[in-house]
Amino acid sequence: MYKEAAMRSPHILVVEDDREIRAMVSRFLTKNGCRVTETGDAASMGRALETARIDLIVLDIMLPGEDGLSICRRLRATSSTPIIMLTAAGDPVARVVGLEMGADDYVAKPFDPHELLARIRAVLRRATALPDGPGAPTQAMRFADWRIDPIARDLRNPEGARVILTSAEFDLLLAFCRHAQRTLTRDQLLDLSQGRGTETMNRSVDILVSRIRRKIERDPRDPAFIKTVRSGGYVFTPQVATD
Amino acid sequence: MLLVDSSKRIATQIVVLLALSSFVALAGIAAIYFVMAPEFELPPKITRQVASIIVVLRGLEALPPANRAQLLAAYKDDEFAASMLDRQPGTLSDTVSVSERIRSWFVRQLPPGTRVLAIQSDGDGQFRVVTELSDGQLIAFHMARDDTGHLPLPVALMIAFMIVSTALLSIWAVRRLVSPLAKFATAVDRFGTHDHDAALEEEGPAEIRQATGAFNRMRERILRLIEDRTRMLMAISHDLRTPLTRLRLRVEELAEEAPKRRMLEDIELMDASIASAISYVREGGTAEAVEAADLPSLVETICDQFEDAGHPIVYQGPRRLTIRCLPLALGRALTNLIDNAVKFGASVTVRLETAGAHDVSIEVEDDGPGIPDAEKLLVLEPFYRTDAARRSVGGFGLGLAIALTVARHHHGTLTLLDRAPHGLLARLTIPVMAPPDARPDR
Repeated sequence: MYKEAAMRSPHILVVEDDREIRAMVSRFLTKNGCRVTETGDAASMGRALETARIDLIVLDIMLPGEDGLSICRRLRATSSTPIIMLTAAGDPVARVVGLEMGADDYVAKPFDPHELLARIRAVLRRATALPDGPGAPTQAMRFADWRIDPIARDLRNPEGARVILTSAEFDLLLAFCRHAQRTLTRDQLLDLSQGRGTETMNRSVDILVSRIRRKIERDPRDPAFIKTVRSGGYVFTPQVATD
Repeated sequence: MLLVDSSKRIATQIVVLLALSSFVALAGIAAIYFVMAPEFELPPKITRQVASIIVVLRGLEALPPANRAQLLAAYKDDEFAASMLDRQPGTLSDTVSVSERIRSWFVRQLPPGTRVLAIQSDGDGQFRVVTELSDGQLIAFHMARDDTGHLPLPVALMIAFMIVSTALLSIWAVRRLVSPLAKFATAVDRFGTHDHDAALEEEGPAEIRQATGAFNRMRERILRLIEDRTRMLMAISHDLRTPLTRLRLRVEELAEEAPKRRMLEDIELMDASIASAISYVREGGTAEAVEAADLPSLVETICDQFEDAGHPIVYQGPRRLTIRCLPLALGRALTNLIDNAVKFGASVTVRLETAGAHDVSIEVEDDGPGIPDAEKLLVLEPFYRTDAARRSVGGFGLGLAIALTVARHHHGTLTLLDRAPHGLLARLTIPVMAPPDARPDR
């Protein structure tokens, strides 16, 4: 199975114009079991994509010539290779734009290389995990008068007010919405949601579920949306419709 | 604008000015009118009566004395009567206060040679004009005076016209002059709290247009300054973060754990300082849109994040409370307040409550050393540093300044208070922008 091979030794393309950062990231990823190809701009990236099978692209936003956002949008039109954006702006607007352009995740400079690695693994795991439910992954969904928008990362309660979630909580709720009325084990939920933050790794799914319940359930002690399944897992009960 | 003493308002002053000037103008015109042309003062009735006097006098001169009574009887009617008068002492003095001007006018109207001996009034709206015929016979003409209680119609019309035109002009003045000025004042007032407002439309009189134009140009300059500042800081932060990233990765390749950890701490501190500077600059021209948000979910999310980082925080407050706000900015402000609290206190409580009918307050309470009163206002200033003990915490000293800026953007306040027995209570109070939507769930 190719995908299993990708999980064991994924081929990562690092697109970063700063030679030293590029070299150190490559060294770190290689040391941690990845095969790495380095490029410094859009043109050499194109050549690298033609010659090798790439599992994931780590893409800097600020590049000479065509910038990372534009590359990301262009790539998305033709391929589904996962992309993690690197940016120095550390700005929620840039993050939303990056995700709108089709990036799978986002890492702010200066970053902990361990965190980058964890996110690479999480994005790859997501790509091989359960297939998504109905509807395009970017489409907004509704459940019981609530509305969740994966691009704007925006959850609205029935009154239309924005309900604020951490990114891990949001990803978990999104995973629930995409797989409504199916019992999901904790491991499946971890796979489906993990990756946008290191917090998930330190937080068990149970704590995240209890926090989501506090924010969306009428009575968190008697939840109506996210029910606990006795054999170990959760099920999201509302009807989910794409918007 | 609303609190200005009404006598000091331009609208009031314009109305008073218009009323006074039209009154003065009218009085002036009336004075000139009566001095230059006194005959106009006299209503048509008197003019008619003067004509009758002339006819009667001519007739009487032509007739023999025996027939005079007959003529007089023929001319008698409701408002006019003439009679022959015996010459008696006292009958010839003027008793009516008729001005010399009117008297001479009256005399001028009669045929030359007519001798008016007296103009008398019986005090009852009746006139008596005593004349003498050429043979010495005295003739008294009794005439009803015009009812002076009523204003003559033209004068009444003039006054009515003056009132109506003053009112119309006032309305025009208020709309044309005052409302652009009021709009201008409001825009100047709002600028800086919500600078994404569009430029002011240049309208109204030339001076106001000029002021509006000057304001718009100043607004442009300020916006450009803010933009330049933001761009500069973004560039600096980008240029700092690239070497910082290299440093971060290089440290990772070091073998020794102890110096590595300290270096990582410094890198994190530098990054946090850059982030706070960006955040401070961004609050100056926030691009975030006001939207309805569930405040408890925002507060709890931030509390949870601190808890995950190892700082347990007690949250007290309603489970649902919708307010219109800038959620990201409010989140940054609250993060800074809690960040400050966990640095100095061991136990931190965050309280969310509605304060009165129009305000929501978020209180962050710690049991740390607190801040002396003398410094409570100073610590809200950007780049302010407290004493050495606090300085070790690092950063540019922007956290509270950012929180204050965010509070101001929400037309709210940030106050620092003492907590008993020790500690600091930071209270962020913001008005609920849409009161009908906001209600605590339970």
